[in-house]
Amino acid sequence: MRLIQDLSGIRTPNNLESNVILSAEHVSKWYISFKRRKTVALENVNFSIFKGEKVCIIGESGSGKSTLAKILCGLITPNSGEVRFEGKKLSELNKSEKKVFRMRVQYIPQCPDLALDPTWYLYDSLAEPLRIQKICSKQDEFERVKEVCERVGIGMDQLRRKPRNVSGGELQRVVIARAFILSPEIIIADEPTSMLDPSIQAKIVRTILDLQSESNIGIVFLTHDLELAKLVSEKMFVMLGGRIVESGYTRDILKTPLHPYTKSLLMGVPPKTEFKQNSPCGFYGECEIVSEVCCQYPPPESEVYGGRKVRCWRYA
Amino acid sequence: MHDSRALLEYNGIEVTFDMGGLKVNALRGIDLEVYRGEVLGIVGESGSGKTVLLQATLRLLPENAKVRGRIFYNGLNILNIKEREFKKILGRSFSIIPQGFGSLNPCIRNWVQISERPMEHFGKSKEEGYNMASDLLGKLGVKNPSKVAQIYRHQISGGTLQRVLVAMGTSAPSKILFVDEPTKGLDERMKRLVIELIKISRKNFESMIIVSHDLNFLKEVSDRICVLYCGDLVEVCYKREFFESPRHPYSQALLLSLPSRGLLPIPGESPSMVTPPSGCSFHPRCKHSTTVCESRRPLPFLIDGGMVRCHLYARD
Repeated sequence: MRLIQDLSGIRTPNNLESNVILSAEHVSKWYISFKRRKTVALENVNFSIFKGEKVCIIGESGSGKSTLAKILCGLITPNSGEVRFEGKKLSELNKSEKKVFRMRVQYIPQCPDLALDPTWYLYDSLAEPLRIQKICSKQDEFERVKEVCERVGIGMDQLRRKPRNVSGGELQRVVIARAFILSPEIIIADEPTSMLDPSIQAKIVRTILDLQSESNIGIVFLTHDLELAKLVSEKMFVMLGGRIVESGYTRDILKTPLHPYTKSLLMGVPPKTEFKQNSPCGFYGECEIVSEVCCQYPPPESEVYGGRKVRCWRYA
Repeated sequence: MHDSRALLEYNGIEVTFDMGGLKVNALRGIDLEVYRGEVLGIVGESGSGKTVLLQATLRLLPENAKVRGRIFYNGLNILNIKEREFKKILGRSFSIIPQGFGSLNPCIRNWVQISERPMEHFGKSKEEGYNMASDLLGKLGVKNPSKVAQIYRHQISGGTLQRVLVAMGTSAPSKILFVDEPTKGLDERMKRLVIELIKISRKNFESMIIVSHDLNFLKEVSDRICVLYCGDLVEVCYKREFFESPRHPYSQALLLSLPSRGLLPIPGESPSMVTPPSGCSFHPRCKHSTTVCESRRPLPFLIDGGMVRCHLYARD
């Protein structure tokens, strides 16, 4: 296995187990809704990210991307399974350790106007993480806010406004600045550009990538735009119906997709009109190659070659 | 004056919003023709006035907006006619696929929303309306259409909602279909679905106007593209020309900001509509800008059946 990794030209020392900084092990999350119906958002998900790695998660809306992202940064507790940060279980951290964890893992939400308090000045929203962590004085605080604003490209005079007086692209940059202000080790960006124009999207993605390369932090990028995923990531996870159905290096997946869902995504096949739910495989009604076993048991995860995992009966 | 090819003709449309003494020019003299049998795509960043143009046509603008100029539909200036006559035209000749589910009334059942227009303007009975709505939803690929028709907007998923919106726009025959940001916030496969749905419904309408900032989507569905920037129509051309050799510097920069074409952001900030730049509104961000661009607003310059508003072409 080591040999294959070497051949694929990927930075081998980084792929050692000890370099895993954040990981989710067999994480499941479900909600009990009306009439005790169980809605499964995530089912047995394994995810890991190395130090300084760029990872993206793609999948359609409702596939559980955002739930996974929120679980990874500790905003939601999973019903089963564990999230580990540098080997320590997240559920077993004490209060001060949790504070450190919150400083080192940051989250960029999808909708910036909902993530900022409408009655606060942007400066206060931006400086709040510093105040909570109590890591610097008032003067230092101003310096750090100024520095991070320069990096993301917002003027200091913009910060004297309230969210409603600022455009969507600028708000998004404020939210990004807030994520970067504590110089974290991992940034989890939940579709940061899906609501924005192409030119602003380019600007924001560039900003995130520049900051990433400057400080060598790990980044988890959630998106449904394949072109964007190709540009921003080294590793890719494809999600469908609460499971990770395919994972591996981005260029491998885009070159030779293995799972039928990934194939249909790359070829741009629209979803079929009639599809069966409640089948063990999330892609059952739409898959072209179906065998009997597909509708009976959920497909196992199988490793096809070094680091390339697929959840489909064809590769089991 | 009236071109027989044009179904809808905009003639010097200016829209001013009066915001408590402050006058904001949302549109600054739009001249545009929508030909029979074409799909016209309108692109532009948020705040460039593309939705305002749509709303001005359909008389959906708020009270404080003032519209000047003329809009000819079949040779009739629809800005001059009385509200009652306009409603007749609106009901029988125009239809709209609105943006997002904000436009659905949360207290009205889906089937009423869908067949409101046929019932109001085409003399259909309630029963016919209900049957029509569920038939239409079935055709658009909704599972269990008769049930979806009876429930409310918050009880259905995003994919079904999109179909309800498309059904709303296509429930009765009309001449022009207006589509407002049909792909905003949708994932890749839902976009494919919208493209399919629009292609299906295209033959029911003589012309279509699609407002979007999703260039890849417009590449699939439209025949001509017109580009709005800061309330100005800067370029009108055929789709192929736009994607292969755009003329206006803004169009060029916009294409370069797509992830597939390099993700290069447009330098500078989007202009403020309150204090638009002097002369050509794009000159502060344009790399070809000269002193003429700063002082004088360029005139529209006709080229090969298209139009471009830039001093670069006027000079030759």
